Amino acid sequence: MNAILEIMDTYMLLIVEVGVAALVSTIVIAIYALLRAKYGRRGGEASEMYIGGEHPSILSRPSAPTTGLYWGFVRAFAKKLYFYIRDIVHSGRLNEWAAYMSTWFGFLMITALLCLAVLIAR
Amino acid sequence: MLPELVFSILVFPGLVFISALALFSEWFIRKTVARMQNRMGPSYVGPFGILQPFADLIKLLFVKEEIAQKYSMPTMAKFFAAMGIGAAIASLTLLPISPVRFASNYDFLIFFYLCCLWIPISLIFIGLSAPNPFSETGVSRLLTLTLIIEPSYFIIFLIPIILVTYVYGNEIPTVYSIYSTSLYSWKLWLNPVTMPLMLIGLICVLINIQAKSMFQPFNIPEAEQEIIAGFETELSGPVLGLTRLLHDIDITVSIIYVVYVFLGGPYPFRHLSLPGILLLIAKYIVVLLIVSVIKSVFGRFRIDQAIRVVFKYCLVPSLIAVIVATIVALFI
Repeated sequence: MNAILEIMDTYMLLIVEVGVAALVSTIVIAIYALLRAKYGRRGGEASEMYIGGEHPSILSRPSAPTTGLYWGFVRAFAKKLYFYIRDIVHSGRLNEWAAYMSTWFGFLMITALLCLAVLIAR
Repeated sequence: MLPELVFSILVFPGLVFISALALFSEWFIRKTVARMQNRMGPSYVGPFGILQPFADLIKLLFVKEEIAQKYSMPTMAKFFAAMGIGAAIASLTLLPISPVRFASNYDFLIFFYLCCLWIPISLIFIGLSAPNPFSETGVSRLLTLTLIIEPSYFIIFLIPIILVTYVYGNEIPTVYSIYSTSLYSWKLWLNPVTMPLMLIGLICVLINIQAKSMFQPFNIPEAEQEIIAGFETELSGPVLGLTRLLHDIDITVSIIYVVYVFLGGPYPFRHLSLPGILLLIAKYIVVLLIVSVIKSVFGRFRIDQAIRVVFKYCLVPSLIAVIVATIVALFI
């Protein structure tokens, strides 16, 4: 069998690859459904959730919020940056906020101009 | 072309081959880790227990009962497992291992769409399809890890892709492409300028694969004993079987991509030559062995330690390497 190389447009390739993925998924489901119907069985046991033997009412108790993950990340990695930005942006002085925003947009603009310069130079 | 395409998708390197290789890889990892821990590992089914993962899969898929608790959605879990498997297998057509190869400019974005988006999303939805406090904790850990693992995986793969695109730009059929990078990446190891960057990329990708595979020390989403079985807590029978198969296929496909994109696959030999086949197998086994050794010698990290390790040893070095690779590429 000779190898075949198909070079195509990126968007076309994306459509083809998604089509291949969908086809393979359908085949996997079909094989499973065919064989499972022949040999498998469905249990009626254990319809309760497994929570280590506790009563389900335990789930209504307050638990750690999911936003804790975000604050955990900030505390572990971005503490200094967080306080720095907070002190500038929330100082209550308009000129500090304007300075921060213009510095940031200035940085983006310089980066964009550098990229443009490199592209033109090439 | 249709018969070749069907063969590529369903037989080699498609569904049949990749499933068999995934089950072999699972056996290899289990056996290697067991021997390092002075245990026997799989021993009874087939020679040296090599068919044990296959027997486990058949047992889970077709023998074990499907136990569904009242809040679970097993059909959704099976659908997402099949989607994950489909995405992983479809991505193999981007590599030169497939008899029918697809390529385009920037096709590495399609690889990331299939392997770094669909597979984690599938695992997350499988976990969420059987709600439980333990599986929710597992899923939130998996999400947290995914947010740092997948961007660093993306950046690490950019190193050889950028280098091949710029250094061999006149010879390659497509730019920023998995296919072209696989063909030429072995040459980057012979170039004294690009070799250190490839070495950094290889070390980073090995750590990243360990985290992506959720093996020790990054087995936080399933954290056996600590949160029962994490996102797999409520899974049983066929859903567990399909999830494990998806997990094994994910590891296998990730290693195959490392073997091609970083280690150059069988090149400079041909695929259908004896040295080419032996070289390909040797590279695959070496990467698998490294994964197994790391798995067996580490304990489990906490989530913040895991994030810090991936950040420090994958994201930052690979980011620096990509910047240096771009500068090198501009001046070569």
